[in-house]
Amino acid sequence: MFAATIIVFCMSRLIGDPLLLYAQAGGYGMPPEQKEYLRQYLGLDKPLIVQYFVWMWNAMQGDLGKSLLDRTPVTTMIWEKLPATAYLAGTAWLFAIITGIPLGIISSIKRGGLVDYIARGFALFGQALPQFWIAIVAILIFAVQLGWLPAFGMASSDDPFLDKVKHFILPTITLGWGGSAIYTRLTRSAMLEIMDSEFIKLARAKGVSTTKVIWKHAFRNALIPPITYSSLFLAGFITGATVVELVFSWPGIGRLAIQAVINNDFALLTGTVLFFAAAYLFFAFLADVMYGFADPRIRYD
Amino acid sequence: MNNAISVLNKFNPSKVWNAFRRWPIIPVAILAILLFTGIFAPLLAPQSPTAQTLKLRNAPPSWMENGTPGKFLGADHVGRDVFSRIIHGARISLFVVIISLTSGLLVGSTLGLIAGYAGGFIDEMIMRLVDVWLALPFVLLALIAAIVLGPSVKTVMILLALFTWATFVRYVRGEVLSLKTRDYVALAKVAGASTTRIIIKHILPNVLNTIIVVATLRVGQLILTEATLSFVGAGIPAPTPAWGLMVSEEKEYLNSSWWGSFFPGLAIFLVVMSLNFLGDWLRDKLDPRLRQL
Repeated sequence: MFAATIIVFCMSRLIGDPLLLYAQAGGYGMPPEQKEYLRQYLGLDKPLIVQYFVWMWNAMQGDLGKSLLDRTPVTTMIWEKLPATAYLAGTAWLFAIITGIPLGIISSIKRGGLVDYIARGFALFGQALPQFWIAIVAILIFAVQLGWLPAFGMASSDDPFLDKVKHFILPTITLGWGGSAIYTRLTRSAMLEIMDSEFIKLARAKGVSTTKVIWKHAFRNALIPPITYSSLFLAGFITGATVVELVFSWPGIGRLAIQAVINNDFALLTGTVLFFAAAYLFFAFLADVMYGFADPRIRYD
Repeated sequence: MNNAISVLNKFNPSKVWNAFRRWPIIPVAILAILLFTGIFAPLLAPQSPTAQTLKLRNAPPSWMENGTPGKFLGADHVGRDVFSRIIHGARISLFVVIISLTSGLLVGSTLGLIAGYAGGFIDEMIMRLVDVWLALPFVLLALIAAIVLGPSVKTVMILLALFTWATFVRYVRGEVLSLKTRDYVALAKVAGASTTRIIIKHILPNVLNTIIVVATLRVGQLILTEATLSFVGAGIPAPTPAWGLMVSEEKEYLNSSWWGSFFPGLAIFLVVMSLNFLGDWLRDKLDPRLRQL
């Protein structure tokens, strides 16, 4: 199933990527013979279906072709940019979990209280504010006005640790806020539902202390939805990082893909899109597996 | 009339607070304003949304110190009135979102009904398609489409419709799967009702609540996506006053004249927040089982 989806995906993508795109860009002031030669050299003279199979054959062997712009292998380019995107998605994910789940729990325990309102407000903003807008307003306030944090880029590896952390703060929060909001809501509604259930009432009636009821009985069960979703979230952050990478000039795969679009570099583009889709499918698969672990009551038939 | 007076007599703050908590008054008010400004944009906007006045480049809002009279929310980098542009932007947003949502909803729900009811191979095919579709990096596809087709309002509507149909398939299918095992459907079948009749008369009415709730919750998402597309340049093309585009155009001037991109962003936020609120409220009322949406 996994492989089948990728094939379907590749098909749909190649159809949407006409040969014209490249010929146009490379065609500026180029003599026809040279153009023809280039066409042959790149294998663009063959029918699309043949091109597709050639590409697929190579892709299965781990070769995604070469960038049209500077002839660097696409896989190398993706590997170079992978850490930046992975770190960003990872920290955003951690941020979402660390803020979202506790906020959800507290707000469900203190339902109707001040903390509940703050947590729900936080979730509300996270869900309704456009990411790019958070990004530029955050840059304006923290980078330009206050000068506390750098506005863009990622620190190089020889910079001091604190510097690296500083570069991460704004993009992480921008990317993670929305996810954190969903975590808060998920945890909150799961907690409320469970606190209402029979076995909690029984535990209370037995005389189990409130703290114990919350942490031992309710919390564990309430964690099921957030855990199930967490892997999908990570996938969402990897693909969703594109806009954040763009605004913060983050040297990740999303920006690489956008450059590929701008340069009509379809080999690179296919590669990055394939990467994103594969990452998503992988984590979606992982989510299914995690679901079974988090909640052994689930049985697939 | 009497009613109004008795309501006024019984006025007390905690009651008002409760009403605000029980009914989505503020979100509905904001959405009503959006609808109103969207429909009557040309009549309401004090100035033309595209008229440039170079003398008033980056003019500050009228209520600020040394603000420009007549520019309620200031002017952008070519001297266009931000307030008028936001009003016209409401119209564009409404137009784009309504059309793309309707088409996505129709296609998605139909496929969901078919997949859920038919089951077997057809179901398998449709759901695989949905899975693959959700796995694609949408912003990138939109960028490609914008380059191949050329950015236009039409392209954006097509893209957004493509963005949204899969969600409907999922929820509608889920509902249909549970509905079709009900006794009354079996009864209808025994009574000799045709498949079309069963779907339209017996299943569709019961799925409608789900569709309405998902649609309301999706609208906010669509507005955000439209804005994001416009922001990255795959959306609505330049002179048109779209909110996302305005934020993007003015971001270079953010330090000196923040109003140009702050207010359109605020408009997006208010509208999306209201839609989310309304969606939550509708869900609790109509379809509490969709809790974890």
